[in-house]
Amino acid sequence: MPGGRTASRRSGSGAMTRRVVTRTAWRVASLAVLLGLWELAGRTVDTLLLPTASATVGALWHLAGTREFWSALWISHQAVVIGFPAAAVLAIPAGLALGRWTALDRWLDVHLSMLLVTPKSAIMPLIVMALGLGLMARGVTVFAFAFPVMVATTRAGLRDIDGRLLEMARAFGATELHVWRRILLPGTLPAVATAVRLGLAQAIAGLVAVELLLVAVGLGHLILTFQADFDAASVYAVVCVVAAEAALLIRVATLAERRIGAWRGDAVHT
Amino acid sequence: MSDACRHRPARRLAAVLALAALAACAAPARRPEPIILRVAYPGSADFDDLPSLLAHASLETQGYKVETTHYRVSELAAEALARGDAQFASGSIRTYWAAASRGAPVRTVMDHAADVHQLVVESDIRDCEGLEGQSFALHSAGAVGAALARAYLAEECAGVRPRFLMVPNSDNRAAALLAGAVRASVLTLAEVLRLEQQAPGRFRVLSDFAARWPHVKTTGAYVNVFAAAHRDVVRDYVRARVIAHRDVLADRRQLPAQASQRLGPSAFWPLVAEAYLDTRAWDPDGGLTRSDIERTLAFFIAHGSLDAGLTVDAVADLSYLASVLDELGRYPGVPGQDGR
Repeated sequence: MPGGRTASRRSGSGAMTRRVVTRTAWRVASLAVLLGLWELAGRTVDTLLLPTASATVGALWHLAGTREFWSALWISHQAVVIGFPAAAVLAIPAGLALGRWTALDRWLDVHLSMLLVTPKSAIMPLIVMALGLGLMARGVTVFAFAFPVMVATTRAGLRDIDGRLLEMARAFGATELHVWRRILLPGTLPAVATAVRLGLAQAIAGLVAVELLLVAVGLGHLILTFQADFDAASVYAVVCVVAAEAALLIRVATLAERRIGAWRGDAVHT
Repeated sequence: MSDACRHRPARRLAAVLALAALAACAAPARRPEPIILRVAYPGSADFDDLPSLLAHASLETQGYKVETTHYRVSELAAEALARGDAQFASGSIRTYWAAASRGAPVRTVMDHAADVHQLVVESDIRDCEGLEGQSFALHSAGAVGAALARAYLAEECAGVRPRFLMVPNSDNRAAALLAGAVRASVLTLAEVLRLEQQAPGRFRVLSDFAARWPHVKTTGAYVNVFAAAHRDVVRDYVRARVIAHRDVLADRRQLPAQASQRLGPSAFWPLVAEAYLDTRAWDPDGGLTRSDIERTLAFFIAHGSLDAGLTVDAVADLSYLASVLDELGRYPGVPGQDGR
């Protein structure tokens, strides 16, 4: 019944459209409520450091028209472009190795724990002493923010793989290479994707921290300059740009994570 | 049970009540609650804060309770003063005047400490022209140090363009100088002395800004609108601070001991104390005149991007200091008391 199938497809696509519209409407409404509350707070609270939402949007509009802002955005991201891929390339194999080989984990776990708990702002003067104030120092700081959390997440993902799968593989005479290819790597992929997402969030936190605490270039320089003039609307505009960018990148990473999950499901079934 | 036994608890109760009444009558009258003075500072306590901390101790003996809060950056301390979270504050004049230009009800009442900023360079840089293309660390574009550096370059070698790097936190700037990551920076006197101890002969002072612009004030003591309703309290505060400035001048030996007690022990304090006292870092007459404010305003409008419409009355109220100086008299032998 081709007509019935078409009608059912139409009604299915209509329901999907309705769901998307409803979800979008809820998001827009919640954003409008947030902006309304912010506007109200900015107008009622007597403070130098809380602008209204409308003033912030105005400042953002003005900033977007300046060359200084785009240049700052590019300068800030150079550190992420260097620090984050380096962290990912080293952290994921390190996490896999620690998860797989217990002896190695016993040896390095204390160092990883130290990296995880040490406040990164405390090591920034050491980075200045060792690497100066250039791009390399900022890249290393971003690396220091992203690396430990990516190692820990990847390691946890590998440890979560069902041990019975490994026993079964061994029983059927699988080599270590087969175990990695057929069980460990596919099983760890979602954790790796999560590690990348968390690492990215940490890298952006590191980007801002390094520019506010270590060397004020890029967006950090803009924030400190506006702050010194009590230009709160411009400070908030820069912070909103950082937050929006972080949200966008994490959204992209989440979508990639889902795609990997779907691919992994397909791979397991085939 | 006999009557005597039956009445014994009642007698005991009566006796306890009588004793309690007697004790209540004999107790001294309750002390009045102390007036709490909340004081905001930027960053952690520093050497130039010492006389103000001594003043707080003196105010506590007068029945006040002083609560100090150290905010991470000077803008937050200014915000705390503007909001009324603090009634008094100390810190960078440029920051508080920028807040005043945005409508914050803050006024400067006296000097906190004289300018102790110096331009420090690697010793092979001999003059202003030697800064061409060199890495030059500053706190931020809006900091006092940046305004002083801009003014120095404009006056001394207008065409020279150093490579400015904004490095927040003076520890980071000193570390960068020591590591050779930068070749010039603006530091305070205490930081310069520490640098000289860590790397003797490697750095030199290219310009002592206090000597170059003696009438430019860089730090102050401030009050908020609270002052209008509590003039006596503000006068007590200003008086205590002026007396503390005079005390440290009168007894130079107490400063290192006070620094050890309040900032932590260090063999470095006697050297710093000598240097600060030699530069008369704490003016025994409060260190602020109308003429000083006019010159400082003109300086920061020209070099520190302050609002050109700011007036002396919008940023300062010298009536408290004048009243305290009328009461205490001028300190003998203080040069340059014109224009007050």
